[in-house]
Amino acid sequence: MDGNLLMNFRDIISGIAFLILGCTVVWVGSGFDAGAAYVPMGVGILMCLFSLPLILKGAVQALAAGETGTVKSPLIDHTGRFMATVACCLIYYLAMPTVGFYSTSTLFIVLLALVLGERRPLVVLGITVGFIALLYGLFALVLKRPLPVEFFLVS
Amino acid sequence: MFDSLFNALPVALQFGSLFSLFVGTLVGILIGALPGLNPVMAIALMLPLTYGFDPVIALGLVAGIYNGSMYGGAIPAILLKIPGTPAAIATTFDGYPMTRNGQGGLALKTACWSSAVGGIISAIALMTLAPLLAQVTLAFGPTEYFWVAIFGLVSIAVLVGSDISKGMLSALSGVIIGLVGVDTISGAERYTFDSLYLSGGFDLIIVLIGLYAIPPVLEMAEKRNATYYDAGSFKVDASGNALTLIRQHWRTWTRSSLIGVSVGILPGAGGNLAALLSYNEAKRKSTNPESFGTGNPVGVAAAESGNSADNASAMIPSLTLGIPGNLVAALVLGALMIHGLQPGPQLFTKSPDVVFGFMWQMLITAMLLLLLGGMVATRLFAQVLRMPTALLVPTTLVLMAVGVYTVKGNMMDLYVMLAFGVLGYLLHRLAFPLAPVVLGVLLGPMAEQNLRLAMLLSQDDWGALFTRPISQGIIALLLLVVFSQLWKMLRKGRQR
Amino acid sequence: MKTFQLTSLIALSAFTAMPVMADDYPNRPIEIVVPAPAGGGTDNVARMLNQYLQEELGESLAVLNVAGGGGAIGVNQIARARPDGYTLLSTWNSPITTVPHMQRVQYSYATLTPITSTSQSAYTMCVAPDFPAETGEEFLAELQSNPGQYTYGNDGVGGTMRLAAERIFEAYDIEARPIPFGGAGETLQNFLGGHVDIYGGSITPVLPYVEDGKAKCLLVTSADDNEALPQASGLAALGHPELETVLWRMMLAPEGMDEQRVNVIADAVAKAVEHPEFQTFLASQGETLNLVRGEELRERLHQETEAIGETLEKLGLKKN
Repeated sequence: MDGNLLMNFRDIISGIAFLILGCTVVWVGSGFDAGAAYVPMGVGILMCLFSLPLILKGAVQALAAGETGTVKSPLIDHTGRFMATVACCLIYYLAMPTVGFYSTSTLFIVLLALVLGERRPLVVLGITVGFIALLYGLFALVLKRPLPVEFFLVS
Repeated sequence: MFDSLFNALPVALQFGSLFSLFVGTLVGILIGALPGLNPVMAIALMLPLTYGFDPVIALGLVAGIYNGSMYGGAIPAILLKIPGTPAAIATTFDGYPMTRNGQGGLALKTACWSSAVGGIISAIALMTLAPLLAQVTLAFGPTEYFWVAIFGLVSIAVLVGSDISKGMLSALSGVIIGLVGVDTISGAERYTFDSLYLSGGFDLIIVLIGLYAIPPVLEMAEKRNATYYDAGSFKVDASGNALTLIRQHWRTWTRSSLIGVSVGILPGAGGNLAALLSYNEAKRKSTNPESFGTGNPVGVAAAESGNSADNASAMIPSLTLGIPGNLVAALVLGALMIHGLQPGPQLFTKSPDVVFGFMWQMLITAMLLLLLGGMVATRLFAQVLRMPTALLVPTTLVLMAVGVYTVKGNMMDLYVMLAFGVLGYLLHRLAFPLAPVVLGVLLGPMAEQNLRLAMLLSQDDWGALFTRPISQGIIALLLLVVFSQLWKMLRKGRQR
Repeated sequence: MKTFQLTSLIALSAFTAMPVMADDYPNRPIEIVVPAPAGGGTDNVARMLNQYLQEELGESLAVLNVAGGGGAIGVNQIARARPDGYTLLSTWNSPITTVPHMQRVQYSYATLTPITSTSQSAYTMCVAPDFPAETGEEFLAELQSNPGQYTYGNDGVGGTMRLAAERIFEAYDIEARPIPFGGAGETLQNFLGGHVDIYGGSITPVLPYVEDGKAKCLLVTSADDNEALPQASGLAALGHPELETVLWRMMLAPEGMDEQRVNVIADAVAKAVEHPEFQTFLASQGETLNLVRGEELRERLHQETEAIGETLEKLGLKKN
């Protein structure tokens, strides 16, 4: 199974995904009042229509794929680091309201830098502290923008 | 009118005004260059600091931030493929490939000059044609807006590239994203699935940051310590001097600035659309359209002069009519009111120094870009790029988080941004173009609402869409663009 | 000189704003949610008031514009916030008294903590100079005799302006076609361009055009006449004071805010509105002061919500 074959399956799968999305849009849209329904229905129908050639083309190419051997890029280059980054973001957002903006951000930068493989403690700490200080200067001192409050300051 | 214009020049040139212009431009470039932070937010946050001073100081700050941020947005767009502001999306198309080709310095310089030229032309239009152009704004009713939106949507055809079905699917997804929320005409909820968050609809800025700024960061994270940049490529002065740039780009600049000014006088359209339309037009006019997207400086020139030319002209309806053309213009009106000045046609006669002074300020700050732009971009941002990628990734993500959070103060927006980021990443990897999504989000709702307003006004007479002269003009333009494109494709097909 | 002030202001703010660990309220910046876009009428009045309010409170106030859903999005957000007095709402009446009848929302006048109302103003209806009417009475008569012919721009379904107009039209048996725009700015643009016949919206944006003679304002939706619009009739002059629907502004807080803290804010507002600059500003916006506090304010919200509910029911617009 080479990359190209995968790519064609991807076309088929994304085409089917759009077909389902289009049908859902039409199905949900059919419940709207007249004036509010025309455009959503139209858009949904168009989406279904344009997903068909994509599926078809993918299928045709998938059948003929045996002969061509060009390897396409994988969907995600490095799944581990991709997932780690997204996961770190989620944890960051989850913790922010309770722990406070500046504390979470500091931890987030250090953690993600370590996860992504930066191992020089001075570089990590130096840049993190400098960056957070800048943010604090801008948002807390000049603009006085309330951000999620630090856990040690909650009254 | 021209008397008052020149009488106001000393006002704009007094020290306080120049100082606030200087600070504003600098702050604007920085804010624009930091992904997630946008000029509207910066202006809204900084205006209160100026309430105690002369309106000229406050307006100088606005003018500076406004024009500065348009160029600032291009810096990360060119260096990292992350548009600093939504209007810089079109700049990534060719700016980033230029950086990859070792022409980052030239790209930045082109962007700087293009922004300045766009800003200057727009300011001149504001100074000389404002009352005339304001009449054009008024002549545009729902029917005309509908056709403008359709024109923008059809131009997607040029953006979609080779695979038409993928391009159309992208655009349609954009329209669907735009449809979510309470329908403004009937008040009915659409695609909200009983979620209160969704009933507010997706905020355009959050969708755009997610779709455009997160995927490059994720890619950066994956590559970790890959060296992206060759420090040598940022020696700006080495690559091309000003005269060469002017000779190369004056046609593009003129065309794009005209597009930018025209889009600007229509409230609600915005620099984003101006940049994309300018880019399209440059590509369409080019003898070598295939080179676009691979690092053609003309693409950068078109996008940057287009979005900057939108700026001053977006002030035309707000200064002459008291109708804000965009959020920045609304803030300017608010600042004027707080300083006791009543926006509207009398502003020109009652406080000419302030209005005309502001116009001069818009002009001066566009020129200041040439002075400050190159300096900030090379001295500061080229340094930022020396940061290890493993740290660049989290710091950029923090900036986006704080930027998005300050828009509404709602944590949910952060998750939505991330979700759109992952979606954008996948679409990009599956070879779906992202630019049509943006146009869909932007223009889909505009087309729908204006169509329905037009139908309400004409009592469901579809003929009304075609009878008004301006509508007919736009339709003619639309057909011209479509058929010239078809003709080109046909000819190319025959040559093969 | 002024520049010096600016720089010293920035410098000062940088050095004096370290967070103070004190027990008294308020001791850190307060967030004011405005459920309307930046630069609109509600936003301008809120920002103007904040300027004087922060002097009184000794803490800075940050405006957060959370527009959308007729204001419901911003109010929903505040309703979920901590009631510690550091997140407040500065709104006009429609999101509280009208929108809950039309959309699902997470709040009601009964749960939000009322602090104080601030000011109020009327909506106006204006026509082009060549419109065949010179007074409010003639205007309504002209509309009456031409059912379904005239279009009026308004602030959309669930907007207070639309409601004000519909109440009057219902009483006079008038049939006019509502065209829902995004706000007064958009309505004004379409009115001046001749795309709609009647401007319906707040007074401020249209004022310059009345002075210019490009607009003729014939009706205000308050019982009293409005000084800024001499040609327009108030509803009392037309014999229908009970149809009054006005736009008024208030500050609210999430449910359960400490009463002492509520009083701190309400007292500060009462002092802040005394500034002559603020009063001049209000006058230029065609607004008048109106301070109602605490439970009295809740009662006012209660009555208006009921009245609007009935009207909407009659008009067939009520959804919840």
